[in-house]
Amino acid sequence: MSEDFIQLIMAGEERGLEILKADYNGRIKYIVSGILKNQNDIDECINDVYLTVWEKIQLYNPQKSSFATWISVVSRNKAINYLKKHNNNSVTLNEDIYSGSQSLEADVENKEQLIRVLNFVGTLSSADINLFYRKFYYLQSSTQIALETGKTERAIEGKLYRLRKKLKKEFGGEFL
Amino acid sequence: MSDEEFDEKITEDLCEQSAVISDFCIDKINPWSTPFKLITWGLILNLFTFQFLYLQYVLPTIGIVLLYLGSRILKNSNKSFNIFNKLCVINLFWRLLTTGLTATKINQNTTAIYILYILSTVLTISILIALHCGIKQLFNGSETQPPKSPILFLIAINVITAIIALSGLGELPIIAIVLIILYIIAIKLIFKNPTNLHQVGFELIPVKVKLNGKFILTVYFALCVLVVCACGFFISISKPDAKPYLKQELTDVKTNLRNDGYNGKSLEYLAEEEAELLTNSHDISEGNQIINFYKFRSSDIFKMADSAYMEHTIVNMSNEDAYAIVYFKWDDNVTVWQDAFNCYMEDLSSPTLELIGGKLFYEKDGKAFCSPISELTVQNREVNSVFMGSSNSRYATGKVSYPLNSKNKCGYIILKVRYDTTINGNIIFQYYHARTFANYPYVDPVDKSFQAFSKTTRQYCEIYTAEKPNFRLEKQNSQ
Repeated sequence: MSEDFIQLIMAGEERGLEILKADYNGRIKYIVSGILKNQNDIDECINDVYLTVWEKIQLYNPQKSSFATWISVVSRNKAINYLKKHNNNSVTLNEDIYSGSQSLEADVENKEQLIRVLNFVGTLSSADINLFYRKFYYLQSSTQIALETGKTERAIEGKLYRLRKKLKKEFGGEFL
Repeated sequence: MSDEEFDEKITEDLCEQSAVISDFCIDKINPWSTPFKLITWGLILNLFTFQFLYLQYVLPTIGIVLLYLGSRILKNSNKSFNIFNKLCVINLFWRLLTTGLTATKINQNTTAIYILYILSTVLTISILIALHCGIKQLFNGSETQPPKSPILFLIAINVITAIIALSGLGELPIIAIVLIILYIIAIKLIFKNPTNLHQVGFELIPVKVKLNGKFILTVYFALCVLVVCACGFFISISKPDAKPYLKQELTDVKTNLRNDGYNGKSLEYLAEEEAELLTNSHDISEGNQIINFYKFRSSDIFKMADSAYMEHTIVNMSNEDAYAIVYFKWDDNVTVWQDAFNCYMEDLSSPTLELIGGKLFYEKDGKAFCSPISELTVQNREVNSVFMGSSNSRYATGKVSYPLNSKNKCGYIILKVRYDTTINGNIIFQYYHARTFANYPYVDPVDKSFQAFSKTTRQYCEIYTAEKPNFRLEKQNSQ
């Protein structure tokens, strides 16, 4: 299915974009609206995601990840950049998931640190892993997490507090 | 560093090198993952029927709570899910009701069990249909072809199981094996869960919850335990129909019996008309024993036991009749919730056993009381034993219970034995002692008194020989 519309987009046919929207709009909207709260920003960001896909589809490498993963990362990074723009933060994220953003040394250092974090996250319970990604990767609010997991906001806040405590204990000043 | 700054730092670290992020956050994090995970586990736990440690009750109870928790997240997504949620709520109450009923005598009523089972199956199938329709509606809304659902297979299994259970075919080993295979296939299918719900979009209409899942599970579980205890305590236990009892001095009849050799403690409690039956005896023989019902195991370390004194008295008459009096007395510190006994004469020619009477005695708040033994009866009964196989004997059975904190708890039964041939055998008194008031699932204590190799059942037995005109206890043999 994905191959078809990817080929169409690569060939510059708008039909490919229509299929992409039909298949992935829900996912993109879900990711973006978790990060951005303003409806105009959400709509603008979603359009930007489609534009990025349209312009940079050749960067997608099916050997490295599924299209769902690629589009999710693009959507998420695009939304975070919107958020940073609103917060007057000049540092922007690279929206391509495969290319490094900084110098080689910085990339290696970041990657090592990230792997350490992810290894630690891997030792957590399934529920904590879910919470970690929802909170720190998708930037979902406690309210949204509570609604989707059938828990109270208070319970989610409590779990987040304990999760932060674990992370701080594990990485301490070194991580920060 | 504040929590906000800390969160920002982690988020930024996760921003770079996103390719390292596993597919976990792509596949698992969507609005459907949590409710369907709960529903999947709910369905699986409802399929498990481990027959030990009460798991056949505990796991499905957890299962129906998980089904409810999953359904409440989905209830606003479409009409079928709303119905699914309502049925899950009904299922919670239904399970509470059936849990309570299982702790009562209704559990021994075959017709009632059939009706409850049919209603439960109908409810389960309705829930599954609503769930199936809900998923179908989701896919219809997104114009995506729904994948093959394991729920239809589950519905089929429920129908097949119900037919097998109601027709009695379940006793055939081959059917049981087929059912087990079907259940394994069902569990496998549910685990595979090929619903791929992210295909239907991410538009879940969420429902704000006021109570946490763990809280609901804990409260519901506690409620079930409470219902079981309440039904056990207030409904299942037979309350003694007690009347004040005045201790009497030994009458002439009883004094004569004492002089004839009746030394048993039961003598002072016998009714006058019962004592009169024993006059003009040919001989009297007796045996007694302390019987321990160990709380843990009968080792020196854990010798905590509920102890009872038991006594057999055989009063042999001049004709071919004899009277057997079985007397028991509990220690004051023992609570007797709902005990039961059976008494029979074990021998080849099976002497006729006739029930003359029996009573319970106790003292509470300084007053003595007397009550009839509940459901005291004599009947022929077929009993299966490992060593003896199936045998049909005549048993005297009854139930014993005393009020809390009562003292001097004792009782007796008196049986008439008619023997006409030379016989040797055992007079056996099997006593079931309930450790707690909970009897779940409810099994008649009398039936429990027939259970062999049970920590809660003890046997007091005396060997007798009977050859006209003698009918005597030979020697003490116990437990």
